[in-house]
Amino acid sequence: MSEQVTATTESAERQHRRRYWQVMAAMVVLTVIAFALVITGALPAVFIAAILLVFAAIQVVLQVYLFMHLNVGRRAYGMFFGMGLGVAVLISMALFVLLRF
Amino acid sequence: MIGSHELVPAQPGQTPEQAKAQDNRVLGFWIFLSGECAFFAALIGTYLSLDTHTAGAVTLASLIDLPLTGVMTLSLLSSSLTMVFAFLAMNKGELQAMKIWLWVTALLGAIFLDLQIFEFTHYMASGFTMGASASASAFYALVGFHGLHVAFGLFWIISLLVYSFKDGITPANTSKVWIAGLYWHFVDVVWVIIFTVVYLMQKVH
Amino acid sequence: MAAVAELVGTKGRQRSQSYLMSWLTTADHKRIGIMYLLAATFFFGVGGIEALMIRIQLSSPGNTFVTPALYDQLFTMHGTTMIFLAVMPLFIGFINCIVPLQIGARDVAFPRLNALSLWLFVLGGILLNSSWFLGGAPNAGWFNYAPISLTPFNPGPGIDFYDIGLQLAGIGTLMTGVNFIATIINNRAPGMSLMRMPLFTWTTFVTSVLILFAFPPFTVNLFLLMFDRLMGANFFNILKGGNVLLWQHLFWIFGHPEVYILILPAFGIISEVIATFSRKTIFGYDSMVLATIAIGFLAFTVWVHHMFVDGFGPYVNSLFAITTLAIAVPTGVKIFNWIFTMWGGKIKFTTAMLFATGFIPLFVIGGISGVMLAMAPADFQYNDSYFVVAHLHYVLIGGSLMGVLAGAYYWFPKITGRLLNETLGKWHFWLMMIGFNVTFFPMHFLGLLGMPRRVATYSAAMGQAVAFWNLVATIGAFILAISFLFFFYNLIKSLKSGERAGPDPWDGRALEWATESPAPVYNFAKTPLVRGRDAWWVEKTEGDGQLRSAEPEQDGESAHHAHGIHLPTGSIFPFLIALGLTIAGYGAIFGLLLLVAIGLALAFFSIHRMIVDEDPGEIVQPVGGAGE
Repeated sequence: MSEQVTATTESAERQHRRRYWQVMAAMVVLTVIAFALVITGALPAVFIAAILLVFAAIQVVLQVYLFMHLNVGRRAYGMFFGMGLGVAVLISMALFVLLRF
Repeated sequence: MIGSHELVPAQPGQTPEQAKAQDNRVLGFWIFLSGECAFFAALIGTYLSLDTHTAGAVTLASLIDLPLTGVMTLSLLSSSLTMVFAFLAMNKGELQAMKIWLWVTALLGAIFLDLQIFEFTHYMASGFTMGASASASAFYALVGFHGLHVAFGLFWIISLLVYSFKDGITPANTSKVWIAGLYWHFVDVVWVIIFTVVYLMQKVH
Repeated sequence: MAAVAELVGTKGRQRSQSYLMSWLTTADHKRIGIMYLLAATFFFGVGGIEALMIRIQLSSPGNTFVTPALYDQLFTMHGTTMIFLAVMPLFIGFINCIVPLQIGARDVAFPRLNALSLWLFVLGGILLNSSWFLGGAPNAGWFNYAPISLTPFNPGPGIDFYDIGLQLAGIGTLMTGVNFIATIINNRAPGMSLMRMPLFTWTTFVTSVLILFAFPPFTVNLFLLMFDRLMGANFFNILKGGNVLLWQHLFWIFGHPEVYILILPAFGIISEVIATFSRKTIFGYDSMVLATIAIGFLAFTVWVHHMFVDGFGPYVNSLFAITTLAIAVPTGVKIFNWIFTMWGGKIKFTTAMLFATGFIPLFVIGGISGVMLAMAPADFQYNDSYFVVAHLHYVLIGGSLMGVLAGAYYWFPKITGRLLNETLGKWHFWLMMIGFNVTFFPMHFLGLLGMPRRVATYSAAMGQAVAFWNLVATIGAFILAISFLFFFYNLIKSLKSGERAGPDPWDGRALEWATESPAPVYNFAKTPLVRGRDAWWVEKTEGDGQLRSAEPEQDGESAHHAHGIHLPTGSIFPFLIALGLTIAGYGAIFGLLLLVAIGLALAFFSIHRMIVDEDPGEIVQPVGGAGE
């Protein structure tokens, strides 16, 4: 019984470890592509900017969900962090739009 | 209500009060981080509203060295990975492995900070000072506050390493590492936004 | 203070520390609440004296009671003090004293962090007010607009005191917000579901969320101003590409949620008081909760209505006018719910109930002038006139302060164990109603007659009416001040020799009335089991008038009786963090880097100890009483 428990914990741990490496690899790949796009200027600026924002969003989600473990946390964590991100978008975009244009 | 997620399991020998305190801390810290989102949003908004206001002084775009930013990004990203490894080690009760991973995390953070100081001194020597233009002020406020967060994270991790594990891994000190980890990952999230919005976007035009 | 100490927070706990140290290190939410109330009452007195000086100056045209320079400092400090150091901390004091009791908790989620909040507020407030003696008070209004707050126009240290004092107090408030969100989510007694929470707890929760998201932008704004003034940055310096509107945006992104932070707890208090003294459950509880949440959400979408005349054009102004007008809807829902709660109730007009009923018409007047101001084209006429002064005082005194006073008469017995004198209380109420309306209603006329705000005097050429109504307002202000003398006398007298209250003097509905007055350190001998909305009322009417225990029985005795109750212990480090940061603040204001270094070193040493130290807690044996 206790052996079985240890076995499952260990495989779970190995699984975690593999997942963390995968996340890390994904983020490095995204970062490298983003830098390469900007340095080479391979696409029109508007497309590059859009791609950069999408990549940043993906990286934020990966970090928050898999490294900070929002996926297994209590609902309140996600609720508040979601509200925080919402307020953040509101504030930064409002300043950008109202003061730049 | 207790045992909020699989990664901070109830420790053997934990009293209900300790479990409750741990649960409170993790929740409280998530709430605090939500407030931090608004903090950085105000700084990012400030930067976005002022970044073209160069007042005829040196521009940021002419100074940015993307390979340097790339190295900084990689050091901070990998420190996120070593932080979760420290946590995995702690959950297995491996004190030494945990300490090593935490030291590696701190080291990577220190490399990041060192490069940032190098970057800032280089910029200032080129005339891109806090007083040069509104654009420069906004850059230093945003990136500088992020740097201060990294520095505080270092202070925190080293504080824990030096003082908190004299009695090994105990029910009382596990959630402290978890929360320091949350903070560290959050600072990394902010950097992802900063290197995209500040560094890469400056070079896109 | 000594009398308070005898009554609160010492029962059941051994005294091993000196008297002073026991208050400096306390982590007990009731003692922290009392210190908030005492400090805030002091600052309220200071702000009131400033107000009287303003009114004396304006009592006749061309008056020279104060110089224009001093007048600027007076109105700035009056606004700043009343908002940041008086009304908001008064609410936080009640929140500290009452919310843990209402949810059946032993303490807040982070007792030591709570102490840090208190000391940051107290020392930040002292730093801000010390500016009077150290080179002049801030003089650019409570909103402190750039560029008037920048060094070229304001070379003295006053603005730096504003900046750093509010930074300290603001960080304390932010921590309070985090603390009470966590407390309300995590520390509720078994059975206390979200939709069974008393409305004061609900409004506290939404207020805390507003604090959480509103204060960080303000913190950033204060940092930007500090960089501009002390480090030569250019955020607001137009010559180097800065933008003064940035300050206004960041200020009002914070500032509008801030005014709801000042009114939502009052809504909660009024709901409690009206339900209790109408002997009915609150009408439309669900809609009250929804309205609170809706107001909290809308709070973040209206800030540009403070900037209608900045020239954003009709589209932006219309958008923000519509969101502003929308707030009248949930607010109206609340007003009707209060009236319907009283409808058909067995109303008992105690002083607390008088303040709660007085709140309704006064707040409606303030709300209506608010709707008038929300219409952008009309606002071009009202802007920066005394009409706005009338509006904001109707919502802040007629709304927030009436709520504070209703709460004071309602909860004083719970906090101190003694009742406030009702006769003096009624004198206070009626004098205040007269004084307040005589002071502020004429300001509507003054505004429409064209009298500008924030100007040290006015010309006799503005006409007889302006001079007359100003004199009336000044007379009213003195009646208002006299009414508060009744209140302060009542506080002192009742603290010494007031009638003993007993646990439940008002036949109350929420859980705070189920324990002794004042509550023992552990709040409830046994963690209560909540069996419905109006938890204590349910036990009184449907149960046997005793709280049910939520704790499992062991051999006929609950676990806590066998082993005692686990409580947090205090620490000196919260005080030292606040002290260190305050010392560093003085260093920054006067450019003394050594002082900054010493202060930061003290703060960081203490933060380090807070990170590393584990609160061992202490075990307290309950000494009988309610809940048995």
